[in-house]
Amino acid sequence: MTVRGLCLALMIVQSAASPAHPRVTWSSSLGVSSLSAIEGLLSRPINGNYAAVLDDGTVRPMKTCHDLLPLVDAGFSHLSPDDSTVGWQLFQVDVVRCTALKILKQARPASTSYLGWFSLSAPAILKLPAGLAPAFTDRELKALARARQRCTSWRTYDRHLKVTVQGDDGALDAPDWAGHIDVLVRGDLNGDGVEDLLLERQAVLKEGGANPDSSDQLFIVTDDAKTKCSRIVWSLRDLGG
Amino acid sequence: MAEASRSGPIGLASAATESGWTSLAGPPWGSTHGPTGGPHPRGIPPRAHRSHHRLAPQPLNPELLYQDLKAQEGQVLFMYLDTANPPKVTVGIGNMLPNVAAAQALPFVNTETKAPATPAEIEHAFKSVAAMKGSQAAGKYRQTPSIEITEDTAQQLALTRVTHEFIPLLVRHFAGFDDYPLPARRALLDMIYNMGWSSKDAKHGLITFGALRRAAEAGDWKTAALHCHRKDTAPNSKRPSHATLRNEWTKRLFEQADQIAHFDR
Repeated sequence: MTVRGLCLALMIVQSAASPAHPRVTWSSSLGVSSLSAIEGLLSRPINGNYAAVLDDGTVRPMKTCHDLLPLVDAGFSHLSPDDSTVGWQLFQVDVVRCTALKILKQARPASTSYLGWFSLSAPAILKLPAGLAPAFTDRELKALARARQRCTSWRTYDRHLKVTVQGDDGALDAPDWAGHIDVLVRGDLNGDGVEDLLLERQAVLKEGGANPDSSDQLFIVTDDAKTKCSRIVWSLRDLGG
Repeated sequence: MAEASRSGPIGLASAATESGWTSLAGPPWGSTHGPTGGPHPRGIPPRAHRSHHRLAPQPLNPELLYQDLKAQEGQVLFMYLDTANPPKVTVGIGNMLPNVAAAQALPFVNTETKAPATPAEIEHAFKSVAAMKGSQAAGKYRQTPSIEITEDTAQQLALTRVTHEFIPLLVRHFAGFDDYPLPARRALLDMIYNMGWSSKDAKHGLITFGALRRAAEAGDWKTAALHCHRKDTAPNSKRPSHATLRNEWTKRLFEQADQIAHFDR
């Protein structure tokens, strides 16, 4: 077999379905000891003493994740007690945590996986969809939309991005921003039996002084036989950016 | 103050009478000399002589500056890691804390007990934050219980830096800075507080805004407004990104400076 043929064979093997992880796995950063403990965490009081101020002036306290998640889904534009950028950044931390817990609670073991190639390593992270990249300008936002349509990998989209994996942390370093990528949950997250990843991507602009703009987003990434590329099937809107 | 209020555009008429803060109100270093009394490092550019005011400039009001910095730069009352490499423990409006002792020198409060934080609590909070990974949003660093400084302390820390660090830099590098219209000085202070003057490799910071500096020294605020744009971020946010709003705010300040200069001429 020629080298070219060998490469082709390897690519076919890589893109084929592989045995799924037999169970749902999750990051220790979620603080979840067992799946049965999640309900308790969702019901636990949130430190922030937040309230959503609706357009009609109604104030809706958000004392637990159960209060917070439906209000975030419905959307509201004013946050009490601190409607500043920092206030929304703090709130986003709880939104991310609550959302990740809710997704983990609904997760099921996958019967099929096309993500056998993924492990927390620099090459695997760079193979993820370009849509995980933070967009710093409108131009970049448009470029990201095009990259999504073309199934472009993160490596192809951003050739300057450096990834360093230490333990369960994927540190990201680009010329003008730095951040992290964490695999929060691995399993079937949308009920189709195919393995998905719940990823948290954080990014903070390097130039920004005291409290530079930041982005903290969740993404569900999957891979399937049809598209033959990994893609984002859901993402959490960033309220704190 | 020496300069009485004067009528002018965009509602700035009374600002001249507000400040009792003499360290910022006048040009303690001389308007064309650096903080050490030496000459301007690049000499005075010829166009800088096209000076900006017939009237004495309005003084910088510390309360106004603090509100500017708080709104634009962001204020974090608990310790967090900045974006330096390696990251540094920081508090307030970007006040770096080099070690535990520096943190213990500040009047932190335990927000649960409302009592002054003990040295042990401050040390624990400092070390917990220092041990975390950098490049995260500030909110990720809040500890439980949260050990925080008050707004008054944050204000004092920020204004001390403005007085002793940033105004001297602006005076040194922007010929005639003290004579610039108040909105232009506010905008430049925001930019230098935000970005610093220069990174080690001179690739970042206000030093890279050459066109802005030339326009400012020429009193050409309309052009300055076109060259003050900092890198934008987070357009995927539901709300306009903070950087977008900040850029618009800075641009408006230079446009206000243009109106004031036009009025004075």
